Amino acid sequence: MASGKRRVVVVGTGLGGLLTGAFLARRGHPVTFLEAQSIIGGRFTHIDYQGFAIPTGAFHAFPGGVRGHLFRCLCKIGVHVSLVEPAPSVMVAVDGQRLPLHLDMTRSQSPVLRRLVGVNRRGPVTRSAARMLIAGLMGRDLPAAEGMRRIGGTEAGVRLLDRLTKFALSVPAEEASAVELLRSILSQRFGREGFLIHGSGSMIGRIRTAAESSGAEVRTAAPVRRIIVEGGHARGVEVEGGESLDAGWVIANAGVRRTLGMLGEHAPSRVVEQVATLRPACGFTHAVRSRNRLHEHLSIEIPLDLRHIDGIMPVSNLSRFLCPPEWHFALAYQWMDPAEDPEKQLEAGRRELLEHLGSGAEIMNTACYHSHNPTANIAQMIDQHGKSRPPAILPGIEGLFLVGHDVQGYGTAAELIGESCLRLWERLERA
Amino acid sequence: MAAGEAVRAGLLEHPPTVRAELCTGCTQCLLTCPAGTIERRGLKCEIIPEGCIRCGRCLTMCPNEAIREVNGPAPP
Repeated sequence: MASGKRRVVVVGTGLGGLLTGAFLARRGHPVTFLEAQSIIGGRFTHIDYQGFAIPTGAFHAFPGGVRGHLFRCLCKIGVHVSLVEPAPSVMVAVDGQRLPLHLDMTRSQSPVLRRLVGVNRRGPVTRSAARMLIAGLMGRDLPAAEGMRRIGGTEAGVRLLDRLTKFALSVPAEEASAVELLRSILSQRFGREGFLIHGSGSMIGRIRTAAESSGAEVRTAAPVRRIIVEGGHARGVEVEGGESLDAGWVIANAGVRRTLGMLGEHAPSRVVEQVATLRPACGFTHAVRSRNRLHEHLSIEIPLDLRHIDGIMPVSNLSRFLCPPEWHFALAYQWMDPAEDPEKQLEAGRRELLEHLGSGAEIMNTACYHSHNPTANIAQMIDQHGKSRPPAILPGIEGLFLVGHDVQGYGTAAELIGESCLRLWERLERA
Repeated sequence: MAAGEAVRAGLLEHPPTVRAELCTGCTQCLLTCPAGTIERRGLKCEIIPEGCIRCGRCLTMCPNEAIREVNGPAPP
């Protein structure tokens, strides 16, 4: 082993774990990935079912496109992807019309949409947003919906923001943190939605290849029982079955809760208490197919008139590679209210979605993430801003680094993983 | 180091078509199409509108200016 290179064990192969492992492997560290499941990629991959690319979570998309953090991560590890950035990024479906919504700042919004949401002039809006950001960073955060009202947003405007925060942060606008939202948008430099034309699973395969060609080893069906900590330093892991692997660095990508469980008595009590108060995000993703074309546009559709469905991605309009040629394919996201009966919400959402997409549409799969499942992300909520998301480096344990969707970071949806990875990589390169 | 590429979709109003009389079948458009929706049929290239993401790349790549956007209705 070259001097200064540490043996690295990556626990869990979600997007954050794979990216970080591949990054370290390319920099000459010997890396071993341990995945409990039989497939790698966690919530950022897809399963091929009869030719349909059914995602395990994320919708084959980089929310920040080529300006975002994930794209920068891939550049750093030399993985090539083809992204399609639909213009406009979003289509708002309201009263039978489709109104374009541009997420980049170079395009101005259509007058019809501006009138609908009540946000008219850019100058005052920018000033208000800046004031909210500064106030929030000083500890006076407010819900995103309240922020929208302050800049003159109408009820339709608040409803649109609500759909967007549910889609991007997994929280309703009344609970979403305005600072979290603003910082996330700023940190990814107003990137616009990018769609992985060959699907998320193909990208995961490429990251794996990049890691393996740099000497990394990937083991699936290898659940980790505990992380070995000696003298305040992570020394390795013990795999289910008794084998132990020594490591200089342990990268944990198994979800914060499960990682704390693996640490046992070494888990810092402050972080355990902090994590116990966090609310995980929950929601449904519906995979819809039809023999008829489902959408006439390429953008994410936000159906403002529907009550339960937050956004629909017209997958087959963006890529021919993710479903059989004779079919059309779309993915819909539905936020789940944890206070209400999931079954009833699901039924209502499915009914509404099928009605919206017209005859011929059928739901072929609905995936649900809920409760304290280790892979469920932590919602970016008003009372959780900053202080509550656990840090990437746990206090009192050296050589252990947390990556994934539930550690501290900024960015919408999966971009948060990229942002926290980039920050961690900088620290690791200095170490 | 490989970086990746991004294509802006939806820039054209409708999927473009190939003017057969100008097409030499050089396949430049086929090679540039990120959606893989251009095929060579016989000696000519043809755009399959169902898969078109309307990025306009083929339009700019064609050395014979054989590809143009038509003002017809969107594909069914």
